[in-house]
Amino acid sequence: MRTKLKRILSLLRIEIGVSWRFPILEGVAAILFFGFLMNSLSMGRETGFSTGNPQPVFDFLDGLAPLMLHRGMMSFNTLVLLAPILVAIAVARPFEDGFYRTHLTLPVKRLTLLVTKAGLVILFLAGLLSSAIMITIPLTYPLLPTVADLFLVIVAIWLFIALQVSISTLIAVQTKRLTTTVIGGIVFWSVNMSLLGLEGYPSIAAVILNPMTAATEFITQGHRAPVIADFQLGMVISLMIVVVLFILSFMIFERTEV
Amino acid sequence: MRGREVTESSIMVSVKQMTKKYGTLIALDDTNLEIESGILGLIGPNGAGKTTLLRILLNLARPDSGHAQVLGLDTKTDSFEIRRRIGILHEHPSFPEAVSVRDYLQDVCGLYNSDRTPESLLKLVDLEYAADRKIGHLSAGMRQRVGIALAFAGNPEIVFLDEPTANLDVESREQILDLIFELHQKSGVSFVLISHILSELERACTHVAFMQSGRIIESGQINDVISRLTQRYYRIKCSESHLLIDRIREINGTTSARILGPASISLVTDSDYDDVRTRVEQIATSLGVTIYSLEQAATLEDAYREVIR
Repeated sequence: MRTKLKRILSLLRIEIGVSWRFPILEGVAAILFFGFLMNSLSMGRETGFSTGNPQPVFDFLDGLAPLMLHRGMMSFNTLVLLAPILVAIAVARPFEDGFYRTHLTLPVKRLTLLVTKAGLVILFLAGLLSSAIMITIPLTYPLLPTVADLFLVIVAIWLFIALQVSISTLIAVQTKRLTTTVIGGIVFWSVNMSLLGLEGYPSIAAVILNPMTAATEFITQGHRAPVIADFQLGMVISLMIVVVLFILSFMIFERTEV
Repeated sequence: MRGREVTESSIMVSVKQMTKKYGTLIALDDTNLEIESGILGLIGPNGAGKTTLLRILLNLARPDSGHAQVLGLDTKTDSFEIRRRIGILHEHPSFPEAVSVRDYLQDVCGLYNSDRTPESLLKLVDLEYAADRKIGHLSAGMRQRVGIALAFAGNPEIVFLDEPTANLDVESREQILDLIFELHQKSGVSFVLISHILSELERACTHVAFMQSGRIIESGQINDVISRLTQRYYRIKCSESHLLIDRIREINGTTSARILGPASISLVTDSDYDDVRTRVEQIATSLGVTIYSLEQAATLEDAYREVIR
């Protein structure tokens, strides 16, 4: 047990040294900073802060909470775009730079290595988004959210990130290319966002494809709030898709030549 | 090696009827090889299948047919256990660039759960002074030493080294070859060396195997192989080789004569030793050249040329 733990810790440290280093983390921080900066500037321009007329500012402040939530969700959804980029760096790039060839000849199981790589991306992104949403929702929600509501949102965030990471991981192990992983992940994300914008889009499909947004809208009684039964079913189906995609990825990775 | 009587326990690697194709390219063609305890040099031209064979032994690639064992363990089903007991240096190893050499080796020792320390590994390859440098800041030669240190992190029973002396200066090459020999002598570690520098292999190896077009075409104890393949090879040491070479080529049965240096000639001929000696001495006397020695002697390089001819 202790030996296994020591091995896993060593593997984690190597993985952090390979995939979570300068300039990758700095790049992520820059995307976060500029994303939120652009979002703030965009909100300010719409309300006419620069015109000198105070009325639009008062009107803006009245509607700030829902706007923050809406914009916040847009930012959070955009942040999910980091998933294919980080998966490409962690899972696809090692095919190209020879990391797998070097490290899969050390006593490391392929399954353990892939779980470590994909798990770290999920942990990082879901942790980041969970923290951000935990701050945003209490600020914007008209009533104090219950623990159950927050729990639901957190689970939905982890599920959404896991879904995006599982799809990107499958593309990465299948194509062994950094660029195709990024492009494939972005295409999935774009289709996902486009579908969410469609009128008459079934709520259960929204939960399956984007549980994060569905959960947030659900607890804040947004216009697309699905009924709870649909919501639970959607989450279970989404989880099943994640599991199937990861199993497929592991099976392919186990047989992949490096 | 293949075809020889060896005890079961002395066979470190066994490859049987291994075939591997990449599309229409046949990388391994019904390859058979048995590697005994010792230091084996795996030799062949580019594209001969050496690296493919190594990748299959390490379970980085899957054969189309045939099977292989390393340390008596099946490469497909017991890959983890094999990797725990072997060491590898790849031709172009990839390391985490932003991590210090010490930290990286510490983590790799952790993966092996080895009692080795980064300091002992760095001492092995004479790189203690760079322990705290980031790997990304190391020169090509220093990275090569890190790769060699990595190969010994798990106290391996057999070590596969693909171009171990690439990027190293002359002194470092000598040091690595000495290290290989010393580890084999003192600790009984076996080695499989893949290299194109045949003079180094000749110095370091106890056995050789020649590969061409995906097949092992010759293998055995190094001196047996050289003498078997180069019975027609002679080396002439003389005062001025350039004066002698044209006339030497005229000796009956000569298939090749080339200058090895200002005072050395390599001759390949079907004539027997006495005839060659008589003819060479006659020619040398007529040209006023002194012959210091004429011996049936050849190098691993000669054997290689002969076998791939």
